[in-house]
Amino acid sequence: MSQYPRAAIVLATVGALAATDARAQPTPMSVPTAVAPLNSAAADVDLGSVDTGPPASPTRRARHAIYVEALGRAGGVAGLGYGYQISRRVGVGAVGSINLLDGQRLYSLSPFVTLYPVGGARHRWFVEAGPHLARLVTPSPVPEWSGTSSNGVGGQLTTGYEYRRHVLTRVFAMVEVGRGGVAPWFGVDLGWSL
Amino acid sequence: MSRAGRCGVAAAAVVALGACGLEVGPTAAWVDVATVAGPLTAKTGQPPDGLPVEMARPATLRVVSFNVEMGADADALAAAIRGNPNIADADVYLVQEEEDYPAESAARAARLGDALGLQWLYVPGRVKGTGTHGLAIMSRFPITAPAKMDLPMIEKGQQRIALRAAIELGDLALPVVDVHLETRLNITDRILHLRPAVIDLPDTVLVAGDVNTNPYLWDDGTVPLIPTAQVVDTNQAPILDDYMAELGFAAPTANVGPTERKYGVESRLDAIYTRGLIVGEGHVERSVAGSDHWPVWVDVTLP
Repeated sequence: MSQYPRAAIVLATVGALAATDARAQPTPMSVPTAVAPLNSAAADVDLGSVDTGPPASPTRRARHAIYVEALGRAGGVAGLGYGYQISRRVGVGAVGSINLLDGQRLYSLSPFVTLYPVGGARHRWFVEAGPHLARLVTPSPVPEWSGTSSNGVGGQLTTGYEYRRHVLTRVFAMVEVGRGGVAPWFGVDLGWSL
Repeated sequence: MSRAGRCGVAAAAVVALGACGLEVGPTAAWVDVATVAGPLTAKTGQPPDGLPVEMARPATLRVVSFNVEMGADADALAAAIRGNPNIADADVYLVQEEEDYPAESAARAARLGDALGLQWLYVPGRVKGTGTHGLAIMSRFPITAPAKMDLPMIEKGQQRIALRAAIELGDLALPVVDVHLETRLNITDRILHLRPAVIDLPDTVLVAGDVNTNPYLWDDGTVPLIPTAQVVDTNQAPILDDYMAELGFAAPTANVGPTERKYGVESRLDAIYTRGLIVGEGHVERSVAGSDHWPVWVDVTLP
């Protein structure tokens, strides 16, 4: 079906780029005093230096991650994710997506808390939990019907393997719980550790 | 953020704002099946000797819709139907997924119709291997004016048809439409797929079949978005019921529950819709074996 042009995607992408450019100037950002240092070597790291090039040593951990998610928590087949490392064992993040599927519009957002029970700087096992907010709009493709929409909130529990060194790679399994029941699922993340 | 990081954001945004859709082909008109020649020629037959077609107008009509999953073992299928008292003596059967192969003794619809003692009509929708795949109507009453419509082709799909005929009930010719829709469609395309067969029907009519209203939202007709189905209402069956209601149809099978179980997932894939008729509650017969679907049925009080 071609009634929903891909121009909307192009516009949204341009918007994302423009917003990114506006933030592209390196900005000094100190580690919040309330946040525990990642390790002894990282305690005095100025994260603004992340934008100036690759980390000087493997012990300097990047706190931000941005990634593309295939399947997984995104609601559709792909989503855009962001993660922030609060401490060595705790992080927060979110995955969102907007999917146009044969005219139906699916908006999805999954914020979560990440725990790293096992692992080191590069290889880690992670567990995540959080809500899944979704809205599905079904416009009518015909004049005699008005269409419909649906909103919902579910929960997601995710666990898997993470590799993080400049790039971020995750493979994981998950369960989604909602008013429709419980369903297993899986996904892959691929992105950058910034 | 580094240049690589900015590019990453852009690439990720493109992926996250995904747009997928299947192409829906053009609509076609109803065609008298008698004008169709070649491998898609329709076949029809009368009940076996000694089993007359009924001519008097009944007070009520029991109508069954059943996807018989190719109907290869017609005798076993007939036994399964006869073994269920609720559908054993139904008046009209709208059947989906019948097939016909030259290597077999007769069309599978013919064998099923004969075994049930009914007049039968088989209309192929497409060639399949050495044979054909299509829809059938079986009835205790005469079947007249058969016509078929090629439903809009869906990208990645197969040619599906709707079969329309009149059931001669004394002085009333009741139009019935038998349909079998594509499987991995989103509801918007499913409506576009079905619409040509139902939009211009008479005021009094019955539509039934395997409408394949699965419970998922699909990405490009390939990936069912299973987690999303747990959070928002992606079940297509009530939405198609709602669409048909806008056309004035009652949906007596709206509350029958699942009509198919596959891979542990139960779905209401089959439906009966009526307009201009007094219709009773719909039913599903899950004790009937022989197919991956369960038959659904209703009693219709004639006007």
